[in-house]
Amino acid sequence: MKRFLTLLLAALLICALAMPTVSAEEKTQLTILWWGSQTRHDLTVAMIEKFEEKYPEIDLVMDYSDWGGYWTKLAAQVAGGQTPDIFQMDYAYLAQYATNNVLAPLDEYMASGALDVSNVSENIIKTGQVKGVTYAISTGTNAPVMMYRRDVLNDLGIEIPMTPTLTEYKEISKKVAEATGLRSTFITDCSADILRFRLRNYGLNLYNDDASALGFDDPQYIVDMWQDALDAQHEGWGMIPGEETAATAFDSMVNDSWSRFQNSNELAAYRDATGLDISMVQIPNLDDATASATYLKPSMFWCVAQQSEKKDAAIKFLNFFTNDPDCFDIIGVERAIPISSEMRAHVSGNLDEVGQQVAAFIEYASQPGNASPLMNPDPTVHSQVAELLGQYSEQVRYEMIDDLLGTAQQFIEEANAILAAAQAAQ
Amino acid sequence: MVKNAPRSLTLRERMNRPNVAGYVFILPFIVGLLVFTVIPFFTSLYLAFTEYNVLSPAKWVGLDNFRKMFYEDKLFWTSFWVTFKFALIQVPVKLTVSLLVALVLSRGTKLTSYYRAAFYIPSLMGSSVAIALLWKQLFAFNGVINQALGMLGLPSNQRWLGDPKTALGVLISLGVWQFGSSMLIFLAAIKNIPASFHEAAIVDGAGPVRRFFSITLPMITPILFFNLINQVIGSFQAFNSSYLITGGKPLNTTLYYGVHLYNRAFNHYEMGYGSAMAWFMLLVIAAFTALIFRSSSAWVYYESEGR
Repeated sequence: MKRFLTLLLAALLICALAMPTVSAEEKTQLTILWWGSQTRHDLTVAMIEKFEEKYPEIDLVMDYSDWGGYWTKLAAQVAGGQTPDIFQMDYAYLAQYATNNVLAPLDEYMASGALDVSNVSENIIKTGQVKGVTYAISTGTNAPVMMYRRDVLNDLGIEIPMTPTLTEYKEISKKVAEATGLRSTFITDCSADILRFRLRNYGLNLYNDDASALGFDDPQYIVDMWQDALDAQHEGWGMIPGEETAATAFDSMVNDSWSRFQNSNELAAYRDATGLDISMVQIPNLDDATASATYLKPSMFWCVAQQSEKKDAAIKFLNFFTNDPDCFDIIGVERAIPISSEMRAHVSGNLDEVGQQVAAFIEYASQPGNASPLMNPDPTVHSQVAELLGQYSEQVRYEMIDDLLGTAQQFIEEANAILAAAQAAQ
Repeated sequence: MVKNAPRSLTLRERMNRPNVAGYVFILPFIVGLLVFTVIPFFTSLYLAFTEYNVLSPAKWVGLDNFRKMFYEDKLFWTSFWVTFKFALIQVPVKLTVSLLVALVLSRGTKLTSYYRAAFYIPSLMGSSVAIALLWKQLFAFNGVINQALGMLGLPSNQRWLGDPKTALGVLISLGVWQFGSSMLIFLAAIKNIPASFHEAAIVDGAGPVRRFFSITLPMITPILFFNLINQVIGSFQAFNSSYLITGGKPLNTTLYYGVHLYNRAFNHYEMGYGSAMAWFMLLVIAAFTALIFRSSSAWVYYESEGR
């Protein structure tokens, strides 16, 4: 009898444990993962609550992180077979995740209208494609920008043009450094991003079309970038390596630098985090530029996991994000300017001051001549190439290298070797 | 017939056997050991011979990762020597400091227990992120250290963390500052030395220095040996301070082996390469530990040996 009772209790316990999964079957549970600042987290949580209100049969389990931890977190979840049903994707990682079969193709849902893209231009849809298959839907259009401390420039009575030349930027930097001690980190950054801007000024690209090699072979482009950084350091208005005091990128605009390269949709986050009057202009173009350094790009994407068993529900969320005014009433342009023309018209009516500035900026960059065409997504070994350039740039900035030309040549050879090896492995 | 046959045990009897309770009690530990140590240990051994980008299944490449490590990856040797230098400086300094503090604290005064706690606190917070960030702030270009120097009229524009000459030193100082646990172990060993040894030496006219080198030091060599091995292993595995404070900069002068491993594995998604690096470090640590063990017969004194 006692044994029977024990068994009965055990059976009851098992039933009790199983209960939650039974009731959850009524609701479709989806996991969602994104990266961002606190500003984005707050807005996204509110937006998702709105979505759940409109689609009571769907329950979204939210998880988020900052940019740095995101790619470790996502990769670990993929490796563990726990890929989130919906997750944010960046242009730099799109090809890598698509070619490893992590992402679900979206074409059939676009064809059936479940993911309505009738108000989205073909060019924008193409940015989410890898080898002709659509794996990702852009959250919005943005552009690289030069953020700057408007309060500082106003105090000094300096005006910065909407599209400054590098010479104009240098002149302003010198005045600001003299008056306030804030220096330039843009001129001394010397990262792959900065090199990319300089190359685009000449109609070139960081990589060639199939990313089998760099998109240029003249080391002088790199030497010029390094020389500008060294001159700025010597003249006292460029940041000396090791003198940065900021613990975060936000802080750097408070203590270290009056300007900084970021993306247009990040304006609100920078204002919220610093509490300062921060504004933006286009990335400075070189004086002899033949094309704009600026380009319009997908700010980020939403993707659905290939292994997800609830793709239909996930697509509902993607459609909500792309086409529902209720979504944009909450998030505005924090994930950049909506890709649907109808939503663009909808948000332009009721944006706050920051949102209006972001929208106006993209409008400006969309004018002919103000932006150059988008390049292909970066190859999977971009992080290695960028790190290699970073290593050499650091040595240059610490003045460990006299022969800039030879070093630039060496970088080009080593980068091409990395790209060729990656090409051969595919 | 049934009566005499060995009866199989009921579940209740099985569960009541004394060693079952023991197994049940250590079960949480066994599961943890298997899941978090043993299985990952052997998985990483396998992965060391593969190319594994996390997103798609691992591909067997034999010894290719090791070839890349030794012949292609310049930062591999850079990080190896940085770690070696870090260990070579930090271990002796930290052992000396902790032994000296233990000697001072071994004399009983009213404040001793307060001081013992105070000196141990940095070790309690030791591996935490907060302390690393505190260190970063202290030694920042506009940090407390430079401001204090400025107030004393000394040059206050030293780039402590940005200068290739000083950055590693700052990280070593953080490690040395966390001497608490080895100090406590030394303290216990010093307290264990019979007072009669010192009394006899005093009668013979030995001063404090002579007594330290002839009594205290030989008596605590087993503990010194223990602390030495612990510190060597800990230094080779260092990660936090570099990752959080300098990120390996400037000019890779603080790029610990562990940080380089992490960058390759988690930033470039090269898990196979990272595993290979981890196994190489395991062999290096094993070699050093073996070396120290071998040398121990020459300098470690055990009372029970009756020498």
